[in-house]
Amino acid sequence: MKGVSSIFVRVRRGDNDKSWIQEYEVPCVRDKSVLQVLKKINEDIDPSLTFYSSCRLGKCGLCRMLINGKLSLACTTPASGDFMVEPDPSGKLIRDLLVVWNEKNKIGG
Amino acid sequence: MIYIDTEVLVIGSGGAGMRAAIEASQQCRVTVMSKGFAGLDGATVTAQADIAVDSGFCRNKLGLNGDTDDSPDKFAADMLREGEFLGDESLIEVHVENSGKEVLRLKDRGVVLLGLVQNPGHSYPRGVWVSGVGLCKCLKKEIRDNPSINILECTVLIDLIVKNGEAVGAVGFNILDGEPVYISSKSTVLCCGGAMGLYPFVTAPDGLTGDGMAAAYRAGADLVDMEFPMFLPYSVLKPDIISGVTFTHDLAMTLNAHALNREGVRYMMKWDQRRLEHTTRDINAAAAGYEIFHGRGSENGGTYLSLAHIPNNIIEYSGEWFPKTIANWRCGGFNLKKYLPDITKEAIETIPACHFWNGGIKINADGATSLPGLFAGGEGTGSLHGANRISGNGVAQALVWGAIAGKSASRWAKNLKHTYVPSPEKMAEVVDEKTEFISRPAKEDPVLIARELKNKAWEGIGLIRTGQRLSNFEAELKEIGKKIKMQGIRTDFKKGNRDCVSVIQNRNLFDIATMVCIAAKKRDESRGAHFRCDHKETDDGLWLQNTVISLKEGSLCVKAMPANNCRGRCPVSGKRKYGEKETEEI
Repeated sequence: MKGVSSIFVRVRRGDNDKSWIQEYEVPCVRDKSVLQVLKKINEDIDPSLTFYSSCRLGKCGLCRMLINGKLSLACTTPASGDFMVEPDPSGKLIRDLLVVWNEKNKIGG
Repeated sequence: MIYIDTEVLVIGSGGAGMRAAIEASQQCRVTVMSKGFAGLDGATVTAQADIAVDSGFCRNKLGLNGDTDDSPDKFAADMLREGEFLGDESLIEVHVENSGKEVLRLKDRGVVLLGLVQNPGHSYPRGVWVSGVGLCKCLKKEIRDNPSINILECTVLIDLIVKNGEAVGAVGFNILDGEPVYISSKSTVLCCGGAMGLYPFVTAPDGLTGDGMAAAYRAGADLVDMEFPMFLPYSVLKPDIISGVTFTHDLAMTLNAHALNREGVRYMMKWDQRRLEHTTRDINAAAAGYEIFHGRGSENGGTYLSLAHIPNNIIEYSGEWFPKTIANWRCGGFNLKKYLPDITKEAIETIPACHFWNGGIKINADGATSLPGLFAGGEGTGSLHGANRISGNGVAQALVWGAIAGKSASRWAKNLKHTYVPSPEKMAEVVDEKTEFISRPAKEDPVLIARELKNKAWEGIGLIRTGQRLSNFEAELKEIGKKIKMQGIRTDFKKGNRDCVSVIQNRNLFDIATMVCIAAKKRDESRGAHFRCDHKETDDGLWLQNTVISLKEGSLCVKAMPANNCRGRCPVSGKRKYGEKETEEI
């Protein structure tokens, strides 16, 4: 049953070996961004969901992902109804929505 | 486990970290350890960003419309006064001489200088306006192209390694792999920024959780003036999606917006009759906090900012001369018109959101901390701003003091013959001990701990403090401390587990909260970003002193030390009204 103000969020999850789509019902969503909803899912519903964010202002670009099939920033996209999120296909997938775009880890000092 | 051997270890990759790495790389091999992604994470990216430079230099060297009457000395005088005479003059002198050179350096590398603005607290137009994103892009390219600099991203600092009283490396945790990292270094530079994440309302990016300050504290270094976290008074509170956005501050500064309480009273009249909302941020924030504290706040616990008294055509036209935010009503990636009420009729709900950390790791004019081998630069350091930072000095501090700390750290490293490298057994033992709390199952939920800590910090060590509230908070901290000892991860998986980061951050924020509380208790007066409801006056007779905190044999020690104001510029002695300054001109 869909609650008064809850929305349904579909997330493409997993890593390079295995991927699936998981649906979450998120209650009490008002005036929130997609990022704020994802944080809510991680904090209150499913701690195993992974993603990354930093500035929350649409400046750093680190929460870039596919939102309803369109490459967008989770922090500046309003969660104005049910939505689906998938990892940015242009990055290297780590897990769920966490990707690395331009890995420059040069290890060995 | 990942092992790295380097000469200079720079922790943090915002403006200060990148600048430190560039300087250190001239003599040494450098490893930059970044909690996130170099040049993209950290507060510098989100800076608006004006860089404070003496106005004469702006005109003569930067080609901007500066005022040649200004001088580094006048700039220093403004910093001292607005910092309520707690800034260290030996640092301020270096700062005002070097910020222009840093901007010139950026200009030479193609960073566009967008204009010059005058901000509260400055006697002359000194804010060289650049894009924070553009600045970071420039520095990022420099460090990525530099063969002497290695970058280790997505790695959170856990603790510094101290051997025979010297900093000899660090243990971190790589978020992507879920693996510990051990780094041996000859010297270490902390550029990890502030701890704004201690509070529920924040303008800074997600990762600013005092990791460097807390690690320095646990390693035994001195920290200074921790009671002065700065709040940006007019940050958006509602709607949620733009919570923490700060363009509203510009509205107050340029469009003469009115700050109102729930009774519609323009409460700044009580605090600074002449400058009103144009006073410095510390006083604005304390005033807003005072209204909230006394139950005169807004519907959702903030205050109101109103433009309703300004005719619509003035609001629209103001974009012409202030294009920064008002011209197209965009801030960052937000189209503000989509989310704001009709501002010609309704007020915006705002709240003082934590914006900057005035205090931090105590450094000297070489960027050296009290712990040999450990250097620090940028926001996570204290001593420079005193009780309040004036506009434009955040990015200036990152650039000037990142560079100085980097240079000093490389000099230190060059003078050391050997890097301390423990035996593999010893290393494994240290890593196991330092990372045990990251991999254990949660007996206490880290998310709930973080929420509790933030909400209680807002009440106890937020804008309005009293001896009673501070004591209550200290008792609450004891309980939270017990939970921190029991926290762990809620689900066990390695790659990108957000709980691993949360438990590290909670431990750090707990240490930071303790320091803020103890320092705020000690300072029984009001000054700058520290307002005590039970000691409302500024007491120059007693309190031209810095609070210095250190960990000695497992216990926190706090002492007051006379501020290094060698020129004796502070004009008064005894008590004065909070926020009242002697230099008042129209």
